[in-house]
Amino acid sequence: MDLIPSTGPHLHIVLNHLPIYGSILALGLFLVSIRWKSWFSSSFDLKSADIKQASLVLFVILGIMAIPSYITGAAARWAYQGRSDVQMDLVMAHQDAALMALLFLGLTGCVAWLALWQRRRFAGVHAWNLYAILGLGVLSVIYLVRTGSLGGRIVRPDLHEAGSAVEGSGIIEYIETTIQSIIWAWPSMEAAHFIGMALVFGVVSIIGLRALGVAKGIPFSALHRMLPLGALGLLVNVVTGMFFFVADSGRYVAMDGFPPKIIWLVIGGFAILYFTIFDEIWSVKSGDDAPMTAKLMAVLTIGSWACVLVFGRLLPYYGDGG
Amino acid sequence: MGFFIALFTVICVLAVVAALLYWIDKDANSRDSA
Repeated sequence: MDLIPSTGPHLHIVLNHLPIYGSILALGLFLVSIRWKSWFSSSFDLKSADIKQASLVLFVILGIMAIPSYITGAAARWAYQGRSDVQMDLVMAHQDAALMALLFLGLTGCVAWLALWQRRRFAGVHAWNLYAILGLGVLSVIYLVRTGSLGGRIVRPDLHEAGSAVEGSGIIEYIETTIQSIIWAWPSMEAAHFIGMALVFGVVSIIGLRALGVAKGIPFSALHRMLPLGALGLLVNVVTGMFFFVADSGRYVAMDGFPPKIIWLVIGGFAILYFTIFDEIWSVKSGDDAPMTAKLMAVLTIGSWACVLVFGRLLPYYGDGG
Repeated sequence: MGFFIALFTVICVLAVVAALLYWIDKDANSRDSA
Protein backbone atom coordinates (compact mmCIF):
# COMPACT_ATOMS: atom_id res chain seq x y z
CA MET A 1 0.00 0.00 0.00
CA ASP A 2 1.42 3.29 -1.07
CA LEU A 3 -0.97 5.52 0.86
CA ILE A 4 1.65 8.01 2.02
CA PRO A 5 3.62 9.45 -0.90
CA SER A 6 7.36 9.32 -0.31
CA THR A 7 8.98 10.02 -3.68
CA GLY A 8 9.49 13.47 -5.20
CA PRO A 9 7.25 12.97 -8.26
CA HIS A 10 4.44 11.45 -6.13
CA LEU A 11 4.55 14.28 -3.56
CA HIS A 12 4.65 16.82 -6.36
CA ILE A 13 1.46 15.41 -7.94
CA VAL A 14 -0.25 15.66 -4.53
CA LEU A 15 0.86 19.27 -3.91
CA ASN A 16 1.15 20.95 -7.30
CA HIS A 17 -2.55 21.53 -8.03
CA LEU A 18 -3.18 23.28 -4.72
CA PRO A 19 -1.53 26.64 -5.59
CA ILE A 20 -3.18 26.73 -9.03
CA TYR A 21 -6.80 26.08 -8.02
CA GLY A 22 -6.27 27.74 -4.65
CA SER A 23 -5.03 31.03 -6.13
CA ILE A 24 -7.93 31.12 -8.62
CA LEU A 25 -10.33 30.58 -5.69
CA ALA A 26 -8.56 33.18 -3.49
CA LEU A 27 -8.54 35.76 -6.31
CA GLY A 28 -12.21 35.02 -7.03
CA LEU A 29 -13.14 35.54 -3.36
CA PHE A 30 -11.09 38.75 -3.28
CA LEU A 31 -12.83 40.12 -6.40
CA VAL A 32 -16.27 39.21 -5.02
CA SER A 33 -15.55 41.06 -1.76
CA ILE A 34 -14.88 44.42 -3.47
CA ARG A 35 -17.58 47.03 -4.11
CA TRP A 36 -16.46 47.99 -7.60
CA LYS A 37 -18.24 51.38 -7.79
CA SER A 38 -16.16 52.60 -4.87
CA TRP A 39 -13.00 51.14 -6.43
CA PHE A 40 -13.36 53.41 -9.49
CA SER A 41 -14.23 56.46 -7.41
CA SER A 42 -10.94 55.88 -5.51
CA SER A 43 -12.60 55.48 -2.10
CA PHE A 44 -12.14 51.86 -1.20
CA ASP A 45 -15.16 49.97 0.06
CA LEU A 46 -16.00 46.32 0.55
CA LYS A 47 -19.15 44.26 0.20
CA SER A 48 -17.98 41.66 2.67
CA ALA A 49 -15.08 41.96 5.09
CA ASP A 50 -15.42 38.27 5.96
CA ILE A 51 -15.03 37.09 2.36
CA LYS A 52 -12.03 39.40 1.96
CA GLN A 53 -10.51 38.02 5.17
CA ALA A 54 -11.01 34.46 3.85
CA SER A 55 -9.29 35.35 0.56
CA LEU A 56 -6.33 36.94 2.42
CA VAL A 57 -5.89 33.91 4.70
CA LEU A 58 -6.05 31.65 1.65
CA PHE A 59 -3.37 33.72 -0.14
CA VAL A 60 -1.07 33.45 2.91
CA ILE A 61 -1.59 29.66 3.14
CA LEU A 62 -0.95 29.29 -0.60
CA GLY A 63 2.17 31.49 -0.41
CA ILE A 64 3.54 29.09 2.24
CA MET A 65 2.40 25.95 0.37
CA ALA A 66 4.08 27.20 -2.82
CA ILE A 67 7.44 26.42 -1.19
CA PRO A 68 6.93 22.62 -0.80
CA SER A 69 5.19 22.56 -4.20
CA TYR A 70 8.30 24.03 -5.84
CA ILE A 71 10.72 21.86 -3.86
CA THR A 72 8.91 18.59 -4.63
CA GLY A 73 8.92 19.69 -8.28
CA ALA A 74 12.70 20.01 -8.18
CA ALA A 75 12.87 16.56 -6.53
CA ALA A 76 10.76 15.20 -9.41
CA ARG A 77 13.12 16.84 -11.92
CA TRP A 78 16.12 15.02 -10.41
CA ALA A 79 14.16 11.76 -10.30
CA TYR A 80 13.42 12.13 -14.03
CA GLN A 81 16.98 13.16 -14.94
CA GLY A 82 18.45 10.83 -17.56
CA ARG A 83 15.16 9.16 -18.51
CA SER A 84 14.73 8.92 -22.26
CA ASP A 85 10.92 9.09 -22.13
CA VAL A 86 10.92 12.54 -20.48
CA GLN A 87 11.60 15.74 -22.42
CA MET A 88 14.09 17.55 -20.20
CA ASP A 89 13.78 20.89 -22.06
CA LEU A 90 10.07 20.82 -21.18
CA VAL A 91 10.94 20.04 -17.54
CA MET A 92 13.35 23.00 -17.43
CA ALA A 93 10.79 25.36 -19.02
CA HIS A 94 8.23 24.15 -16.45
CA GLN A 95 10.72 24.81 -13.65
CA ASP A 96 11.54 28.32 -14.93
CA ALA A 97 7.82 29.17 -14.99
CA ALA A 98 7.38 27.58 -11.54
CA LEU A 99 10.06 29.86 -10.04
CA MET A 100 8.23 32.95 -11.33
CA ALA A 101 4.93 31.55 -10.04
CA LEU A 102 6.57 30.95 -6.64
CA LEU A 103 7.92 34.52 -6.64
CA PHE A 104 4.55 36.13 -7.38
CA LEU A 105 2.50 33.83 -5.15
CA GLY A 106 5.04 34.35 -2.34
CA LEU A 107 4.81 38.14 -2.73
CA THR A 108 1.00 37.93 -2.79
CA GLY A 109 1.16 35.91 0.44
CA CYS A 110 3.42 38.58 2.02
CA VAL A 111 1.13 41.53 1.18
CA ALA A 112 -1.94 39.47 2.16
CA TRP A 113 -0.32 38.74 5.54
CA LEU A 114 0.46 42.47 5.98
CA ALA A 115 -3.18 43.28 5.16
CA LEU A 116 -4.32 40.81 7.86
CA TRP A 117 -1.91 42.39 10.35
CA GLN A 118 -3.11 45.92 9.45
CA ARG A 119 -6.74 44.82 9.74
CA ARG A 120 -6.13 43.40 13.21
CA ARG A 121 -4.20 46.50 14.31
CA PHE A 122 -6.24 49.33 12.77
CA ALA A 123 -9.55 47.56 11.96
CA GLY A 124 -8.86 48.45 8.32
CA VAL A 125 -6.45 47.81 5.46
CA HIS A 126 -4.56 50.43 3.44
CA ALA A 127 -5.94 50.81 -0.09
CA TRP A 128 -2.47 50.43 -1.70
CA ASN A 129 -2.20 47.00 -0.09
CA LEU A 130 -5.43 45.82 -1.68
CA TYR A 131 -4.30 47.09 -5.11
CA ALA A 132 -1.01 45.23 -4.62
CA ILE A 133 -2.84 42.00 -3.71
CA LEU A 134 -5.02 42.31 -6.81
CA GLY A 135 -2.07 42.96 -9.15
CA LEU A 136 0.19 40.28 -7.66
CA GLY A 137 -2.72 37.81 -7.42
CA VAL A 138 -3.46 38.19 -11.14
CA LEU A 139 0.24 37.73 -12.02
CA SER A 140 0.36 34.64 -9.75
CA VAL A 141 -2.62 33.06 -11.49
CA ILE A 142 -1.11 33.76 -14.96
CA TYR A 143 2.24 32.17 -14.06
CA LEU A 144 0.65 29.28 -12.14
CA VAL A 145 -1.60 28.39 -15.09
CA ARG A 146 1.40 28.51 -17.44
CA THR A 147 3.42 26.37 -15.00
CA GLY A 148 0.58 23.85 -14.71
CA SER A 149 0.11 23.68 -18.45
CA LEU A 150 3.83 22.99 -19.03
CA GLY A 151 3.85 20.45 -16.17
CA GLY A 152 0.87 18.66 -17.68
CA ARG A 153 2.74 18.29 -20.96
CA ILE A 154 5.59 16.49 -19.16
CA VAL A 155 3.44 13.73 -17.68
CA ARG A 156 0.62 13.62 -20.27
CA PRO A 157 2.10 14.59 -23.65
CA ASP A 158 -0.86 12.89 -25.40
CA LEU A 159 -3.22 15.60 -24.13
CA HIS A 160 -1.27 18.41 -25.80
CA GLU A 161 -0.34 19.54 -29.28
CA ALA A 162 2.51 17.38 -30.50
CA GLY A 163 5.76 18.75 -31.85
CA SER A 164 5.56 22.33 -30.58
CA ALA A 165 8.91 23.33 -29.11
CA VAL A 166 9.05 24.91 -25.67
CA GLU A 167 11.81 27.15 -24.42
CA GLY A 168 12.16 28.30 -20.83
CA SER A 169 13.45 31.69 -19.73
CA GLY A 170 16.68 30.10 -18.46
CA ILE A 171 16.36 31.83 -15.08
CA ILE A 172 17.13 28.67 -13.05
CA GLU A 173 20.32 28.03 -15.00
CA TYR A 174 21.32 31.70 -14.68
CA ILE A 175 20.88 31.63 -10.86
CA GLU A 176 22.75 28.30 -10.60
CA THR A 177 25.77 29.47 -12.56
CA THR A 178 25.86 32.96 -11.02
CA ILE A 179 25.81 31.78 -7.40
CA GLN A 180 28.28 28.98 -8.05
CA SER A 181 30.70 31.25 -9.92
CA ILE A 182 30.85 33.98 -7.25
CA ILE A 183 32.73 32.54 -4.29
CA TRP A 184 31.37 34.98 -1.64
CA ALA A 185 27.72 34.75 -2.76
CA TRP A 186 26.97 31.66 -0.64
CA PRO A 187 28.60 32.79 2.64
CA SER A 188 27.05 36.28 2.30
CA MET A 189 23.59 34.80 1.96
CA GLU A 190 24.31 32.35 4.81
CA ALA A 191 25.07 35.31 7.09
CA ALA A 192 21.81 37.02 6.04
CA HIS A 193 19.98 33.68 6.49
CA PHE A 194 21.21 33.38 10.10
CA ILE A 195 20.16 36.94 10.90
CA GLY A 196 16.70 36.26 9.40
CA MET A 197 16.50 33.06 11.46
CA ALA A 198 17.35 35.00 14.64
CA LEU A 199 14.59 37.55 13.86
CA VAL A 200 11.96 34.84 13.29
CA PHE A 201 12.92 32.77 16.32
CA GLY A 202 13.33 35.85 18.51
CA VAL A 203 9.89 37.27 17.73
CA VAL A 204 8.22 33.84 17.92
CA SER A 205 9.85 33.21 21.31
CA ILE A 206 8.79 36.57 22.78
CA ILE A 207 5.17 36.17 21.63
CA GLY A 208 5.04 32.48 22.58
CA LEU A 209 6.50 33.08 26.06
CA ARG A 210 3.94 35.86 26.75
CA ALA A 211 1.15 33.44 25.81
CA LEU A 212 2.68 30.87 28.16
CA GLY A 213 2.61 33.34 31.08
CA VAL A 214 6.00 35.11 31.03
CA ALA A 215 5.83 38.93 31.45
CA LYS A 216 2.07 38.98 31.99
CA GLY A 217 2.18 42.76 32.45
CA ILE A 218 2.55 43.20 28.69
CA PRO A 219 -0.76 43.22 26.75
CA PHE A 220 -0.68 40.94 23.69
CA SER A 221 -1.54 43.83 21.37
CA ALA A 222 1.82 45.47 22.23
CA LEU A 223 3.69 42.32 21.19
CA HIS A 224 1.51 41.95 18.08
CA ARG A 225 3.40 45.00 16.79
CA MET A 226 6.59 42.89 16.74
CA LEU A 227 5.11 40.41 14.25
CA PRO A 228 6.20 42.32 11.08
CA LEU A 229 9.82 42.07 12.28
CA GLY A 230 9.48 38.27 12.46
CA ALA A 231 7.70 38.24 9.08
CA LEU A 232 10.53 40.27 7.51
CA GLY A 233 13.04 37.80 8.98
CA LEU A 234 11.05 34.97 7.40
CA LEU A 235 11.02 36.84 4.08
CA VAL A 236 14.83 37.24 4.19
CA ASN A 237 15.13 33.52 4.90
CA VAL A 238 12.74 32.36 2.21
CA VAL A 239 14.55 34.53 -0.37
CA THR A 240 18.07 33.45 0.66
CA GLY A 241 16.90 29.85 1.24
CA MET A 242 15.39 29.63 -2.23
CA PHE A 243 18.64 30.98 -3.72
CA PHE A 244 20.53 28.18 -1.91
CA PHE A 245 18.02 25.62 -3.12
CA VAL A 246 17.93 26.78 -6.74
CA ALA A 247 21.75 26.97 -6.89
CA ASP A 248 22.19 23.38 -5.68
CA SER A 249 18.79 21.67 -5.84
CA GLY A 250 20.18 18.20 -6.68
CA ARG A 251 22.06 18.11 -3.36
CA TYR A 252 19.19 19.49 -1.25
CA VAL A 253 16.60 16.99 -2.54
CA ALA A 254 18.97 14.15 -1.63
CA MET A 255 19.29 15.29 2.01
CA ASP A 256 17.24 13.34 4.58
CA GLY A 257 16.98 16.37 6.86
CA PHE A 258 15.45 18.61 4.19
CA PRO A 259 11.84 17.25 4.08
CA PRO A 260 11.37 17.56 7.91
CA LYS A 261 12.81 21.09 7.81
CA ILE A 262 10.27 22.13 5.14
CA ILE A 263 7.35 20.35 6.87
CA TRP A 264 8.11 22.20 10.14
CA LEU A 265 8.53 25.46 8.21
CA VAL A 266 5.01 25.05 6.79
CA ILE A 267 3.57 24.22 10.25
CA GLY A 268 5.45 27.15 11.84
CA GLY A 269 4.23 29.50 9.10
CA PHE A 270 0.59 28.46 9.59
CA ALA A 271 0.94 28.81 13.38
CA ILE A 272 2.02 32.48 13.06
CA LEU A 273 -1.39 33.16 11.42
CA TYR A 274 -3.04 32.32 14.76
CA PHE A 275 -1.13 35.10 16.55
CA THR A 276 -1.78 37.51 13.66
CA ILE A 277 -5.57 37.35 13.40
CA PHE A 278 -7.32 35.42 16.18
CA ASP A 279 -9.58 37.38 18.56
CA GLU A 280 -8.94 35.33 21.71
CA ILE A 281 -5.21 36.11 21.80
CA TRP A 282 -5.63 39.73 20.60
CA SER A 283 -7.91 40.45 23.56
CA VAL A 284 -5.35 39.33 26.19
CA LYS A 285 -4.78 42.48 28.27
CA SER A 286 -2.08 43.40 30.76
CA GLY A 287 -2.16 40.90 33.66
CA ASP A 288 -4.47 38.46 31.79
CA ASP A 289 -3.73 34.77 31.51
CA ALA A 290 -3.81 33.63 27.85
CA PRO A 291 -6.40 30.96 26.91
CA MET A 292 -5.31 27.29 26.70
CA THR A 293 -5.52 27.31 22.87
CA ALA A 294 -3.02 30.19 22.79
CA LYS A 295 -0.67 28.27 25.09
CA LEU A 296 -0.86 25.17 22.90
CA MET A 297 -0.26 27.31 19.80
CA ALA A 298 2.73 28.93 21.55
CA VAL A 299 4.27 25.51 22.24
CA LEU A 300 3.57 24.41 18.66
CA THR A 301 5.03 27.61 17.18
CA ILE A 302 8.22 27.70 19.26
CA GLY A 303 8.63 23.92 18.83
CA SER A 304 8.16 23.97 15.07
CA TRP A 305 10.59 26.85 14.53
CA ALA A 306 13.11 25.08 16.80
CA CYS A 307 12.75 22.02 14.55
CA VAL A 308 13.31 24.19 11.45
CA LEU A 309 16.55 25.48 13.03
CA VAL A 310 17.76 22.06 14.17
CA PHE A 311 17.01 20.24 10.91
CA GLY A 312 18.50 23.17 8.98
CA ARG A 313 21.74 22.93 10.95
CA LEU A 314 21.78 19.13 10.65
CA LEU A 315 21.24 19.10 6.87
CA PRO A 316 24.74 17.82 5.99
CA TYR A 317 24.82 15.37 8.93
CA TYR A 318 21.34 13.87 9.41
CA GLY A 319 20.84 10.51 7.65
CA ASP A 320 22.05 10.81 4.09
CA GLY A 321 23.47 14.35 4.11
CA GLY A 322 23.42 14.50 0.29
CA MET B 1 37.87 41.16 0.00
CA GLY B 2 35.18 38.46 0.22
CA PHE B 3 34.67 39.20 3.91
CA PHE B 4 33.92 42.87 3.23
CA ILE B 5 31.54 42.02 0.41
CA ALA B 6 29.73 39.55 2.70
CA LEU B 7 29.60 42.19 5.45
CA PHE B 8 28.29 44.79 3.00
CA THR B 9 25.61 42.35 1.77
CA VAL B 10 24.44 41.69 5.33
CA ILE B 11 24.38 45.42 6.16
CA CYS B 12 22.32 46.05 3.00
CA VAL B 13 19.83 43.29 3.96
CA LEU B 14 19.54 44.74 7.47
CA ALA B 15 19.05 48.26 6.05
CA VAL B 16 16.22 47.02 3.80
CA VAL B 17 14.60 45.16 6.72
CA ALA B 18 14.91 48.25 8.94
CA ALA B 19 13.45 50.54 6.24
CA LEU B 20 10.52 48.17 5.62
CA LEU B 21 9.86 47.81 9.34
CA TYR B 22 9.93 51.59 9.83
CA TRP B 23 7.48 52.00 6.95
CA ILE B 24 5.11 49.28 8.23
CA ASP B 25 5.34 50.42 11.85
CA LYS B 26 5.07 54.21 11.46
CA ASP B 27 1.28 54.05 11.21
CA ALA B 28 1.14 51.84 14.27
CA ASN B 29 2.94 54.62 16.14
CA SER B 30 0.33 57.26 15.39
CA ARG B 31 -2.73 55.01 15.28
CA ASP B 32 -1.96 52.39 17.87
CA SER B 33 -5.36 51.17 18.94
CA ALA B 34 -3.90 48.94 21.63
